[in-house]
Amino acid sequence: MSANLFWKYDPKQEAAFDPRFRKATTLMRILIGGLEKTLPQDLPNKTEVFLGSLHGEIEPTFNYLKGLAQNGVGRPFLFQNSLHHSTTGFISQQLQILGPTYSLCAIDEPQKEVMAAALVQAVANRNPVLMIHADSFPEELGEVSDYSVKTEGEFLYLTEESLSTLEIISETSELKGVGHFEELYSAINSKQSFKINFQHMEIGFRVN
Amino acid sequence: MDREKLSEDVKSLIIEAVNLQHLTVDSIKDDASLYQDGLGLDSVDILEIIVAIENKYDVKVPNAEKGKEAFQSISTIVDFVMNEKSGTSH
Amino acid sequence: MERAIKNIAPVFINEHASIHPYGVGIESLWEACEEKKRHFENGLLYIPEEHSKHCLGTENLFSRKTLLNEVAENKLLAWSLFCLRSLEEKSQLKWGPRDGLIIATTTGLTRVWESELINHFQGEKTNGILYQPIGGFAQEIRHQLEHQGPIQIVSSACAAGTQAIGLGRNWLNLGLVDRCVILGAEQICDLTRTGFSSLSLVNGEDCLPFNETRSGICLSEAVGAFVLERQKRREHSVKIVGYGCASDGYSMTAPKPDGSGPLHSISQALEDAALTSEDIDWVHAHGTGSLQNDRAEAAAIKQLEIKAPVSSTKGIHGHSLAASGVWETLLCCEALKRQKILGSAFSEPKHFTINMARDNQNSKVSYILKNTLGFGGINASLILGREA
Repeated sequence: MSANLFWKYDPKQEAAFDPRFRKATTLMRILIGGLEKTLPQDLPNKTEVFLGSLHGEIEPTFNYLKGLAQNGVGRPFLFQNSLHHSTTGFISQQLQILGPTYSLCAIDEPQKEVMAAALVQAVANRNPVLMIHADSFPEELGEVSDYSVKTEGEFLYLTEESLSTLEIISETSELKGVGHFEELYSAINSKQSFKINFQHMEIGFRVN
Repeated sequence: MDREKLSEDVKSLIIEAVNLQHLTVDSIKDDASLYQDGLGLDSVDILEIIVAIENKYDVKVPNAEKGKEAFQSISTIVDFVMNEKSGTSH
Repeated sequence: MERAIKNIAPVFINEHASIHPYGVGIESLWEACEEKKRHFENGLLYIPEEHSKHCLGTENLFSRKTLLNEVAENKLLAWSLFCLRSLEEKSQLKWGPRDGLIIATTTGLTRVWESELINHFQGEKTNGILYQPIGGFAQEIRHQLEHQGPIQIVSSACAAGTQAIGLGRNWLNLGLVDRCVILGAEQICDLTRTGFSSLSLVNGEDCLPFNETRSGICLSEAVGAFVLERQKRREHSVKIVGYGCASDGYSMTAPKPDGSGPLHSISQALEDAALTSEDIDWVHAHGTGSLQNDRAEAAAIKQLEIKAPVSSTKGIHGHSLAASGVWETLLCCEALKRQKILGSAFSEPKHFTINMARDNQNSKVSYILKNTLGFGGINASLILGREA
């Protein structure tokens, strides 16, 4: 039985060109790099994957639409990578994770929204979960907005064992709020109760 | 149209179109299949290459059957482009 | 330690609303399917202008100024608010903290972003990028409804609609909300219209699911919405009895030919419902009419020895991506209500070794299996039932 795992992308560690990822986007490449390095080989088949993002695969989508606008050509690769399940699908394919995979688009806070969705599912199904957050932003678009999203990627894998006693509790006022994966990682590891606030909702969790 | 030059151009276009940076123009044989026992490409790669060739040489693959026939190897692509070009010049 | 959902109270589809190329409300779609209408043009099926005008003309559609100017004219937002306002009225929804909303869409306001991008490429400074995040679509809905409850957006390609229903059921079962509105919304945009063609997946004429001569999908647009609750509110409310979801890990754009993806999602849904394949009375297939989808889906149905009639209605109404799982679920609700199944329009049963239903049939319908398959190898299945 492996342990819970947390990983965060470090932009200083650029990987060399790998022909396996020749069709992949930046987000796909950095996530696969981290997942392959960090996750155990024998990931349980029923692992449920939740990937949340604010912009999704904005880069290929933008480049696809740019090609279309400028020379009337829509490139198949870019379209294939543009749709919102592409990152999650690529991860499932590369790592042969054959359980349920969900792509969520965040409304305000990607990490909180992914954590809430994944933990609610874990309470219902008792399966291990892999929660992922990834975002990037093409430089060219920086000119037309105030957004300044750098490439971000992180994930948290929680084992079936660590989730086996997870419960939703209604009394949340005393609980510590968890805002991102790393905080959740330490709350679960130290068996501390916590809450997640998202979209006017406050969900309390207890680990026994 | 110089066949040898065209062949080299097609190879470098393919390397760029489907990101085969681990290969060089010299390492790809003219008769190498685009598929499994050659460059190992899949059907979406082929579509991408068709788009690139059509764009660069201002030619048009009329239908899927022609696409399948013309996009088998580097040589068949070169044949296709040369045929189309000589056809339009008359 | 196992706490299976099936031991918890079922959830019901109560009030619903929809807008689609054949009109407003699911009855008009059902009738179009019965009559085997097909109005595709160049492989596309749009919501006619008159229906959009009807939506936009609805009183109180927008309760206040939109967050972003350009979206006030956007049809997807108008169709969505039209359906949500209709549910608001029918169910006395106040959009309070105990009313959840789960939205299934793959493109959101991409139509608006696309036109803003053209200005951008022409060198104009625009704030078009603000429309890119799909969350922007939900923010606008939240703003207009003055919604105080949780909202989530599912964008897992064409399985997103059924996934939204699966996730909403958990919100209800775990007591996080009292009502959960499911909204599936998709508008044809340049990205999808040209993108599926670039992958040679679009048929320029008709959509022929489960037909040997099929050559691709026809895109359509629609919004479907309904209220999920633990209580049954209407005589014909339909029960969600099973849900299953699985990936096949095969390709970014095609299902694994052996059908292992839908095989697993269907098996899980059956297990979740504590039913066997013999209990299923009708399979409402994903049946997009693409070469790969129909082959894989039929392979799964065959391996599971499902003897029930199988139909795809996409030959009539086309494929609306993430929204399809939502409004096609409403078609299944109609089948349970009418005790009738729709034929698989334009299928050629002899080409598939499953029980293709060619004609509409009056029939005892207790349980329906609804499948969805999506890019990235995602599969989700639902089993819907009639309360005995």
